[in-house]
Amino acid sequence: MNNTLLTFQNVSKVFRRVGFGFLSKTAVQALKDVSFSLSSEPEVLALVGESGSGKSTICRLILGLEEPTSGEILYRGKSVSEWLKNNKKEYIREVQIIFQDPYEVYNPFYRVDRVLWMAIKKFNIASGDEANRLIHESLEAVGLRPREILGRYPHQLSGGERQRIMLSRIYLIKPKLLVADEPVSMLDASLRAIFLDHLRDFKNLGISTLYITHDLNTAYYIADRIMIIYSGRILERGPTEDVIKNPLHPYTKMLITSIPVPDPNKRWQDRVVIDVAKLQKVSGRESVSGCPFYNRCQFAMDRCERNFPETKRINNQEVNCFLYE
Amino acid sequence: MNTILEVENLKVYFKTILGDAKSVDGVSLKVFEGEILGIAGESGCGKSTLVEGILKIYKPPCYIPEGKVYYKGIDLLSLPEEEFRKLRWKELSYVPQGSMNSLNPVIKIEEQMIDGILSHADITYREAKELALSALNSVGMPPDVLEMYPHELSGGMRQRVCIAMSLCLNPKIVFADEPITGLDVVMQKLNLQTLGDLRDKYGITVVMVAHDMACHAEICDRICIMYAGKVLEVGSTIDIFSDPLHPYTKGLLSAVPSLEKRNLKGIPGLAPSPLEWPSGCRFHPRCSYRMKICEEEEPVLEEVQPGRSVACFLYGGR
Repeated sequence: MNNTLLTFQNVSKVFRRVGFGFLSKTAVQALKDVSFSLSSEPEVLALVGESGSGKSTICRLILGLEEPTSGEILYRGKSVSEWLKNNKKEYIREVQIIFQDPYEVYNPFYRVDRVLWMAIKKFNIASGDEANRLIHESLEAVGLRPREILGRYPHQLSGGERQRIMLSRIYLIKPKLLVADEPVSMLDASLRAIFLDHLRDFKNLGISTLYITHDLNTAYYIADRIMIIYSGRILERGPTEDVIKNPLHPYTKMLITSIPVPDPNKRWQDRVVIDVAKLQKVSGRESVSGCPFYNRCQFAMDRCERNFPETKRINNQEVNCFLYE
Repeated sequence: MNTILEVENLKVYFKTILGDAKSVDGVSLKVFEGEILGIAGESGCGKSTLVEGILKIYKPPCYIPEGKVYYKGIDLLSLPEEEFRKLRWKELSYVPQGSMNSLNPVIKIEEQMIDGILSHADITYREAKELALSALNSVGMPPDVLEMYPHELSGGMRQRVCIAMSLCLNPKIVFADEPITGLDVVMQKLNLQTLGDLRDKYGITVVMVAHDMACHAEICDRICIMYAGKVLEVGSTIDIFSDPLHPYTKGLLSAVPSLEKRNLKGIPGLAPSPLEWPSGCRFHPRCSYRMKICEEEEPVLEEVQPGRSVACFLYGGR
């Protein structure tokens, strides 16, 4: 237990609507029996899933914005709720986040310097000239020129610059764990690569990253390990190279063959056929006790509907699918 | 190949207190009948504004200072609004950006589709319903969808309803603005295939605006690369991907992440502002092949091979 930074132990999360009338019965199982860990050696772990798969719930659980319905989340051996009760400041300093939208995280009335100064003040990182020097250093570390950034208002900067200021803030705070929730989905392709390179360099500063994304391409680019999540369940995980080159779960395979290849000579040969009637059945998610992918899986068997398969280890990968038993 | 749409030196500006924002600044472009033309470029390069300008669906403070758009020989921009309205949907239809979120949540799909048809065609409700059904069928959606509310469908399905709506009156050209943004990959694939079918099965010309180069590679016949309100390069998809000429196209392609290569290269520098484009070639501050002439003169879009044009001094451009 001591050599892991963050551990999820059978974490489930159910959102219940305490409403009235017909709304009161709605409950959404956002996560079901999710277990994984990040080692204390700096690494980039990618969590890949489509919208509504529970990626952001994991992110909120780590930040302590939600409590798990069951199961435990341990950070350096102690549960997150305990950290927040006793050592909140320390926890916040060690676990930081970069959000998806670089436009909404800034207060438009203040200069952008403020996000950096607030970090310095809040965590007593430095003072006076030293603080100034650190701010310059951290901006330069992410490829920004301090003289062009400091003193500006958010609306004067582009999305790419704002998102990189968020990166420089991370550089300044040097947390142990960084949760990056779709950090590049709103950036242009030409800036995306630069941003991801900086994120990857953070490993050398001793920062582990949980990279949350829907995009396998960028996950492949920066991650050491990949986890595939679907409808609140982790279906496959393993070293990036293995998962991408040799996907085991039918869902992973479907994802990989659906990615458009930037090469007009390698266009799709097959077609996606989706049965609308089947898709609708998925919406009542609480009743699904078996594999959540059952409805869309071409290899679906009877028992897939009732039971969720145990985790099976094949070489370096782990997969939850009855095809591998 | 017949030219179905021709854009000549089109400019679309926005009036602001700081001066004109020249979002589209002199674009010339040909669209051939029965092709899928992709318009690619980064955010803010004027892709969407170009389409809005062609269809004349912009609102003030946006205006067109000059330029011509010919559709089958008709000068669209000088048509009176009443006349132009008759062409929209019947001849030229449009799937706006984020249209999957544009459906009214409390009205059934049926009513929303038929409402659109009736406002553009003089037919009965029953005939309109027939048209809506056949449009849904052509994008591979079952007829039950008409009875549903938008929230019963996933984002990708709603997007296909919007594509179906644009097909109701058998248009000749469909303009699709970012038709697959915000969808998960499987839905993206399905919707791209739907757009491909429009050309293959129904012979509809498609103009697709998208920032993702990989999508262009999948279905487009030709690609037009835009940067800073200008067209930098036009060519067939195969040519553009196998031998990009313009340094910006090269940069754009090397920045596309893919499962086949693990090295990515971004383009250094930042996209310029439409209030003040750089002098000379608009890409020169970010270009690694920059010469002295690039700062002073603006290269013109010139045909360098048959069907292949590029605006760059490395290939002439004078």
